[in-house]
Amino acid sequence: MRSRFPDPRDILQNAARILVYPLFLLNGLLLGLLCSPCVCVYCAWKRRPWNISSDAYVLDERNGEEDEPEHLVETGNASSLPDAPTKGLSTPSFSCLFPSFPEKPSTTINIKDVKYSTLYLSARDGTRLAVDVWLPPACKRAEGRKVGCVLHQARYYRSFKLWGPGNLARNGLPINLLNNEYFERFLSQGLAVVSMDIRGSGASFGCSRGPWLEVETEDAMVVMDWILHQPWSNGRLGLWGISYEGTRALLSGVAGHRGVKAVVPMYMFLDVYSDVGFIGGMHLRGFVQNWERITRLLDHNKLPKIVFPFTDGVQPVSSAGPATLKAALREHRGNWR
Amino acid sequence: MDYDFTDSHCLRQQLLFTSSPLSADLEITGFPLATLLVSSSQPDAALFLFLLCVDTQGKAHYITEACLRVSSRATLPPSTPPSPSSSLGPSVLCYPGLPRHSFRRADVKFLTPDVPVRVEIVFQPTSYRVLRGQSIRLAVAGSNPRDFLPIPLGEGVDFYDLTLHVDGGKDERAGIERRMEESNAELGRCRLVLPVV
Repeated sequence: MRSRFPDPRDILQNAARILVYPLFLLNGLLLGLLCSPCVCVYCAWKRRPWNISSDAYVLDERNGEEDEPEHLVETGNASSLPDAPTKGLSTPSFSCLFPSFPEKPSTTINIKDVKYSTLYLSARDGTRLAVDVWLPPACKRAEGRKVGCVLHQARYYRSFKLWGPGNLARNGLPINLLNNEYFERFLSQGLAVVSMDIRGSGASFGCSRGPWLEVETEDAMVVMDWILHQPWSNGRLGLWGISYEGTRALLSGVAGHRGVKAVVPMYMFLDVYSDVGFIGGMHLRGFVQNWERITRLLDHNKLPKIVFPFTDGVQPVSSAGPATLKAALREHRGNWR
Repeated sequence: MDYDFTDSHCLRQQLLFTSSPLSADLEITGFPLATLLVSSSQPDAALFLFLLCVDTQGKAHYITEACLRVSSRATLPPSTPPSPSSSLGPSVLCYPGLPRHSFRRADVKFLTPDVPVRVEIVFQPTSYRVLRGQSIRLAVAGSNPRDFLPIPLGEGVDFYDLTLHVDGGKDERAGIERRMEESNAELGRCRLVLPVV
């Protein structure tokens, strides 16, 4: 027969269990407080002087795009160019504690001044493509303001949805992790940014049977036509991307759209065989396998939270509802088949 | 990025060729080019080259790298139209003055074991200033299993001897020396050409 009162040993045990959690928490805090100065000092000491500042490059590329050169701010610092690597250690700097690729451009923009919207556009075959539109502060202030636009074709998400602290920091707006600094730079200089998910990736429908398909160029043409018909567009387009997306920018750029005035393909591949797949005739298995794994996780929206803790997968098209994203992700199962 | 080649983790076995300390600063900008005479104990071999800068403390710093599967060493004549495999169709991959490998199945030439062949390898482009007192180093390795799939060498063969004939094969065994002498004029010597600005 069970006694009416719980066994005092049980009470003790439960109390201990409950107490142990705050204790763990405190321990963790203490450990963090003790470790973080050590980590700071170590990182600062490890920091070397020849880290390339991306500022100089960004300025050069901006010169290629022709909108409003008077907005160009001279921030490139000649002394920040890569120095001889044997000078010894630089003065400690705590900026090394933050991700430094790409390094933060010095021109910043208040995210509250930017106008963001996301929508689906239909490709020629009816496949729905997710598109982000970022309009610069000038368009938000004056309704009829016409600006140039940078188009970005994203293979690694046009933007990540954020949650919790990430959401607070971004005022509820999503973020493109690879290109955010560049996007902010474009916006701060009065350019609009349109980022689209390539079919088969992100929140777009359809499937991607292989990399750099011709149909991705056709999709870009549809989006470029759409941009030129927007009331905020001045009819001038630039294409931007890094790696896969850079190669994509070049391929879309040479397709001959009348609006394209500049293409900035960063770290792109001219010959997929000898530049990335089989360098020197040998299979670059390590990179290709890692790329495939990561891209597959992204395509099925299953990137583990631990990689980017404050993100919550791909940014859905808000007007379409969560079921639409699920339907889009279902179509991605046909990727690479 | 800090590549430490003083104690390399993934490429333990490599041959190092280090220059004497430079008497003046040297800027390398462009595509370095290496010409090597190599032989293998198997019908194929892989070459991984690293160009390094050795500072006054003896620490090596990465400048650039190159690699080539020796059986794919055939280069295209300079006037050949660009390869159709290029993602851009009519490609812009024509760097004047540099050899371009065809990577065509028909051009594959396997090696006769222990007979040296001449290989031209173009490095990844770079721009780097080697300071006075520092040395230039060429590191040659035969595999890079962390990044690259090992080249297929046939059933049960999992290693090969890679020989680099630095000085026309003079210090080689008798049999090889003779064969080298026959073809010496054609093969030339090993060399490294740096684009100096």
